[in-house]
Amino acid sequence: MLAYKFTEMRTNHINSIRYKLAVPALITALVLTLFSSGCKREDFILPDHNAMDERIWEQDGSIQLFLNGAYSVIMPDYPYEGTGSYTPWFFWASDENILGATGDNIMKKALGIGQTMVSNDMRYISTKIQGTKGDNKYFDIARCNLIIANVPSSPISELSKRSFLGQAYALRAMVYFNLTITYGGVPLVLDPVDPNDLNLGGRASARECFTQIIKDLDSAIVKLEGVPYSEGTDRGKWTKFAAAAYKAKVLLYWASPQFNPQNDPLHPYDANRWNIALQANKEAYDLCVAAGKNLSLPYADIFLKEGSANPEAIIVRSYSKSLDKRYQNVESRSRPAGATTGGSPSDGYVPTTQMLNAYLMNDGTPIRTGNVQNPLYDDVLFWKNRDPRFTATIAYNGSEWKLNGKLGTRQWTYSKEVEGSTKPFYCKRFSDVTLPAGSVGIANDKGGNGLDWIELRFAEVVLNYAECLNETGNIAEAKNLVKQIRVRAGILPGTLNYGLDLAQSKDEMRELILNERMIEFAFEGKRGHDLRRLRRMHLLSGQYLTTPVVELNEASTSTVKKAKLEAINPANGLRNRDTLNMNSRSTYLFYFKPQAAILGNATNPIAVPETYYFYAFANGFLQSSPFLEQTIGWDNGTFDPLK
Amino acid sequence: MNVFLQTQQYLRWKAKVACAPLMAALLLSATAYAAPEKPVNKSSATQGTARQNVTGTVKDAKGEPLPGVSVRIKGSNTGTSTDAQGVYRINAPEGNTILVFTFVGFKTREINIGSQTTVDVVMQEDITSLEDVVVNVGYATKRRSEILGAVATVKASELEDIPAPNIAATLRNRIAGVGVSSTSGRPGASISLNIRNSRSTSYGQTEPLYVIDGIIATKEQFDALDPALVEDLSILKDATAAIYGAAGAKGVVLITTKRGKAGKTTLSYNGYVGVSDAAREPNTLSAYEHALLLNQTYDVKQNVASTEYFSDADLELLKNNRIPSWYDKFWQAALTQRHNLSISGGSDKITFFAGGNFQNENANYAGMSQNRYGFRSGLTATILTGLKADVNFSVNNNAQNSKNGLSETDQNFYQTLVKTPKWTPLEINGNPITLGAGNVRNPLALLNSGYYEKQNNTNYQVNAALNYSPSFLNGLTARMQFAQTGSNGKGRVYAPPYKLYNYARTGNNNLLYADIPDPVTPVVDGLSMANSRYTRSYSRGSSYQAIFTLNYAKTIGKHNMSMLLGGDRAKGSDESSRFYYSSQQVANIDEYWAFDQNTFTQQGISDGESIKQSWLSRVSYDFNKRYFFDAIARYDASTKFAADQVWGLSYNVGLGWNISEENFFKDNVSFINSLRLKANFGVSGDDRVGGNSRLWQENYKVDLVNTGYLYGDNMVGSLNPTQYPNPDITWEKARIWNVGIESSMFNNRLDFNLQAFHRVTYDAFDAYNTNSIPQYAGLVPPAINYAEFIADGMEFTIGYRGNLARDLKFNTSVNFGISSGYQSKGMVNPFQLFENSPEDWQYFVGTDARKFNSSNFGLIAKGMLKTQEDVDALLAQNPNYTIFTQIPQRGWLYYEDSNGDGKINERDYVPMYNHPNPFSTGLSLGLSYKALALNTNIAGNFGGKVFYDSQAMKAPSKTENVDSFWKDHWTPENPDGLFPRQDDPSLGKKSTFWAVDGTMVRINNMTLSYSLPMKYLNKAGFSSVRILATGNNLWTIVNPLKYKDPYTSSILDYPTLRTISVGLNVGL
Repeated sequence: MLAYKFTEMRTNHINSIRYKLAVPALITALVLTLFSSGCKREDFILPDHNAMDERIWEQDGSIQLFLNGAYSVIMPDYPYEGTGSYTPWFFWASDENILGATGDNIMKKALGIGQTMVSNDMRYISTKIQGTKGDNKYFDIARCNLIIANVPSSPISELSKRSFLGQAYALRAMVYFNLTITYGGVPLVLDPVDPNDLNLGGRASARECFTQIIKDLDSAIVKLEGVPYSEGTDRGKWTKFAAAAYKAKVLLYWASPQFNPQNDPLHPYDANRWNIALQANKEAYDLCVAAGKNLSLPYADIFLKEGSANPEAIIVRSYSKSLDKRYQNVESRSRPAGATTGGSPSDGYVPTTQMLNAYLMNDGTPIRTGNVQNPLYDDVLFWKNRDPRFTATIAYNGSEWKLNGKLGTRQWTYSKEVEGSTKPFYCKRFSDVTLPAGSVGIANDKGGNGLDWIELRFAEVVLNYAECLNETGNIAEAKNLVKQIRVRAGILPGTLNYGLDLAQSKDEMRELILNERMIEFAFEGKRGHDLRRLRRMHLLSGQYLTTPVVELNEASTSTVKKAKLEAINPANGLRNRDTLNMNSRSTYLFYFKPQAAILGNATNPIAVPETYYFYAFANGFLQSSPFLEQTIGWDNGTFDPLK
Repeated sequence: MNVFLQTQQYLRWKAKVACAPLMAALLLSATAYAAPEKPVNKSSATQGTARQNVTGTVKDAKGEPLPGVSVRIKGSNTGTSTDAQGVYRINAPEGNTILVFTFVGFKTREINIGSQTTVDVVMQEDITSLEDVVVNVGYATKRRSEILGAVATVKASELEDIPAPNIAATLRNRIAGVGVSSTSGRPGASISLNIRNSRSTSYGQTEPLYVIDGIIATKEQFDALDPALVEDLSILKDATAAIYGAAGAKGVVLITTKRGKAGKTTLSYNGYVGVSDAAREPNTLSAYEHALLLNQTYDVKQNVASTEYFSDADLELLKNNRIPSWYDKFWQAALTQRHNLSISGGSDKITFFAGGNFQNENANYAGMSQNRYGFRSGLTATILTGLKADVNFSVNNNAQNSKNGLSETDQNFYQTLVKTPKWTPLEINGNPITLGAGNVRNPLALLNSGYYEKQNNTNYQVNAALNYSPSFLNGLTARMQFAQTGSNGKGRVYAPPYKLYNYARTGNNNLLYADIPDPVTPVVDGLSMANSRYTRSYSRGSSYQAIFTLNYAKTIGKHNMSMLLGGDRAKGSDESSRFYYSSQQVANIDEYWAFDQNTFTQQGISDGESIKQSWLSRVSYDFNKRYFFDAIARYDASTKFAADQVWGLSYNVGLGWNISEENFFKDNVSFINSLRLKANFGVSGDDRVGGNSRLWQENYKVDLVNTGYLYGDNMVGSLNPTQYPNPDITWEKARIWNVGIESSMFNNRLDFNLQAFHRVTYDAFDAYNTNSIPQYAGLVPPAINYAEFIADGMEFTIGYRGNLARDLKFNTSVNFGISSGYQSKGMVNPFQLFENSPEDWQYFVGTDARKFNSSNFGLIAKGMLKTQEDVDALLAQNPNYTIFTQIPQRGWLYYEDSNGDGKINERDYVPMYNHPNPFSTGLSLGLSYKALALNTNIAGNFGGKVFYDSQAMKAPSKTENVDSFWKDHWTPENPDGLFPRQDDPSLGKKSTFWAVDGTMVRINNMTLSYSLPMKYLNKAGFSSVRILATGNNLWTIVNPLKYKDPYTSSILDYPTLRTISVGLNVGL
């Protein structure tokens, strides 16, 4: 139709003069409209609809979102539960559990079990140049650095600034602390890095790192003063007393033999570090008490109660069983396999003989002193008369553990047991017995028990404080604190003041506290840290990580006793074994051989050289910069972590 | 076979239905044009001018009458054409009436009849010299002889007969310096062009810029073009692309679509129907051969448990294996077709063109297909003297369907057909079995489940221009062009749950399937209910481009000058979103509401926006058509860079000398029609940053699920830094020198063209390799303008057109290009180079990329250890010799210990060959005898090396079948076997063992056509009818690696397809 009109125009002989002027005018107008607008600089600034740019620092909301990301990558998880490469398995290498399939290589190397560690094995600091969880600790630090650098000039309220900065300082301290205790001095990057001007140096000394960590925690303590949190929406955020407790822990490490060895002529012992640590620990203890933290919770419930119901939790990472990808897998990892229990157990939760024996008797005395066995101890019914934390922690053959609401039944762990148990022991501490078997595992990014991980709880504050008191000569006060722990555990006063009077000297008290920590923090991933901190790891050399296996007391070809035990009594619907008298040694021995076999690595003992107290940088990290020195003890390294 | 025929008929019917609306559209536009003709006729009738009947005969130079010549009265639509005897009759007004005679292949003649009533005409054949062809050089056209750069041109008519998926595919091997590569043979797989081995880093692009009718187009729009609707293509290969400065650094492909021609309205149809099949079928081991081979491997391996072996009974069973090959079961020849209908015509004042196309390519299995249709129409009208309007409209639609995925190579699905051991049944008693091994899906179960993926993309464009050449200022043309483009796409993926059936295994090694359902778990989830999913995605884009140019040309004496000034502004925006529901609640219904409504998951929303604004100018000058000068300058601003870095300058300066116009030359050399020397230098840029284009900006993205956090029960998202900014990021640039010699000889029958270039791509987008900044910097290094690539090359094209004998015509063109290049600068960490693990060897900065590239990097094989004596001799000489940590054994390959450490591993990799690249050439041949014509395109590679692909180097295993060449492998009984033992630890490692001579000769395509004689056609009212038979990817005469087609990268990829088709061209 357009064409028709134009043809008409031609036949109408419109005067050519008119269009001569009209057409150029029209074109000029169009051109001017289109192009005149586009010459200003501002016209080339288009908003980014897909992402946040530097405006991120102008709003509470976006800074909070950014901080959430820092929490997500920095806050620690349950030990042994994950399978991700980010999991710092070597932290958990200790004599507390036997070694299993998951992540065991690096743990075996850290303990020298059948394998030795080479410099390139320790990739905790960095595996990749990217910022997803576990890939590179300096990406985690960079998140904190960005907040610390940008928030002070933000237009948000002063309270918000203090809150954000306090949390960022605390998180940064946490990353640097974990790096420093691993490598003993790492590069300190405290400002956002300009990629066009990589102003980066080499490794800072451990002293400089500790100084910075303490400085950051001091900043956090100051900034977090009076920052209000609501229980419903803020649980897990760093508080003032959490930062103080963490600072106390950091100073304990700085005073401890890992960084402060006693008999090293090149690095003289500095006793004053204990005084500084004591001061910080006292402050932390007082702050926590003032904040309502205490040991009122039954030991068995520590990981089962969350939020305000748990006065012991100081630093936590929350999980959920019903939200996408917010699960942890600890329920499955600690439960037995089997249709009614639904677990997929990990050896990380199977105690070693050492661990079983570490538990005291119920009066606070050890099961053996030298070669003398405690008369209360029964090596067959070894659960009898024990520290109540034993049964609160360890599921053994025939122990009470009403998984999946199976009232009246017990957990049986003898080999070839009918319901599918595969391990001789399990850990009960992180398990919600009410969870049905079908909900134990993770499916479609959901599942598990969703229980919070408590990275730091009041008991640790107490024991850290006690250790400082002991090291500074105040054994009596140290015992008072340990007593609090034992009282809460349910240990009886006995004749030896809860067993505490067995420690007569500072050295004996140090041993007592170390053992107390092993029991109190069973399977919380603290044992490996303690062994390294106290330079006790290499002393384990020669030990094997094994645990006894219970078998049926009949020939392998016979199933008579098995059938008898497992037959279901129609009267109560229970298997016969569930009504077995567990207090009768003879009954038990009639059916079972308690130490018929062992589980774990009986071929290769622990073999840890002293150089393992500070690990090496992996090749990729070391060679990424000319300024980095390798740690002494590794590949002719020259960096001294004790300077 | 029967079924197949039925399918074909069904599809034909479908095609017809699809064509119907197209026809309707065409008729509508035709009637729209019929209207204005009436008043013209009326007015001429009412004017009462005397009319006369004019008649005459039209003949060619040899005196043969020419039928079908168009005869038209100039300035009107009245016209006729000559009959079979070359005679025409027309009623024309008396006076100064001019008759216009046009005929394809002949020069148009205009004759003023005056008062004559008999006008005989002799028409001269039009051997247009290439020199006179008008070529689009960007924002303007130039005569070929005046172009000072390397510009290749192709007439679309040369391409339209080839049954290839799109224009890019038809260009394969046709133009020196233009590389074509396709990802796989799957219909819809992308086919990319590369001009002169353009290189960039992962941030940049290597494809050229596409411009359709003056407007920058997307690759998708370019791929949608039907060759029959295109007039021609020109490709700016050097810095003359600076006229598109902004994105010209990788070359520019300029497409001009067809326009209406004044004269009788013509209707033409062009199309083909063909069958596509694998150019080379995979030839894998039979079940028996496979089992035997495994047994043989176990024999030599020793200590293999007896339960691993196939027993004699198993072997006997497999000898008579009744299980059909999965490949044979699924793979079948597929139908492919293309149809095109166009109408064109008009008067001197108005011309129009409208054309529609339909293309359907079916894949060879799994209901995969690609259907495209498009419509283009154009109207050119002279509104008033000097003022012309050009209005074009186009729409393209591309629908892809699959009952499987829509990935480029379709490897996941296809490889199960090839790789699965042939003792594995697809189904037992109608139940698809579970394979239980690795990630292999049962293809039958997937197909039966109802799974599908669909993607439908549409784009449309209105492209209008006004040209104004005022009569008061001769030589001035003002042009205003505006195009608005819109696009939208939608996709659906339906993945319903399905079951697989577990059957008991039998045989000594439990690899065979018994007819008994597994007693414990007879049924397993192929895709569980919870993981079933319904995904939808939407995208839309819109953009405009406005161009304003002023062109002034002036001749003063022997000085010819022209000048172009212009502005160009383009703005585009796009957005997309994707979401899914999972856990199907209502079975078999592929709607979102049939899935669990609580599972709605947003997979991503994206939004993009960009503006580019440019000022451009070009000045051309020549003295007496002998000495030429040309300069281009363009100033661009792009929002892909920070506000202070938006502007970039591109320029080009060219000089030319037309030697053949010199008197000394004209007088002395007569056989050379033209000879030209030319040179140009320029700089052009590229702002096409891949991925996120905001490299200059901080970028934090919100994520809830993956990296969010939980405070108590309060789930919160997180903002994660996704990019570290470089505020200084700016244009990537290329500095290009080009010199050329062009000549036409022997009455324009022989054309010769030689171009040489030197290109430095600098400031290319680059970043430190992630392994090479201090790992404690805490950031992903941002892109910077740093990398530099240097390339040198030469391109030759020689063409010949001539008559071998009366009626026997011949034309040929040979092209080849040689080029070398290397990366001269790149971000690498000097502390880490060649230090650590072999991954670091990926840096080849400063080395010739022809030799130093990862495919030429491997072990130097010294042979095979055929006997124990060979092994002993080797170990006697090198006592600690190990091959990938193992002590050598017979039947293994052994290698040169390049680093002398006594061990063979990746550290012994060296560049294997000095000249691994073959010499490549393309040859086009055309032969015609009377109405019969044969056109062929032949590709030839000579010398060099090609390597077995990484999949072919793999030994068979109990879960993976391999190509049958593995049959000839070493065993104690066959020590001269060509291939090593299957447990050779070096299998899969690159070495000279896996290199073969790269010589390859291949007939890419061949077209045989026959034009029906005019005398019959005219009676039936046709102006031309041509029938043709064509083959694409026809025949590999010399194939270096027999097990696959040279254009296929691995036998696990969808193979290259051979298409044989019959076509028809009809003009009305």
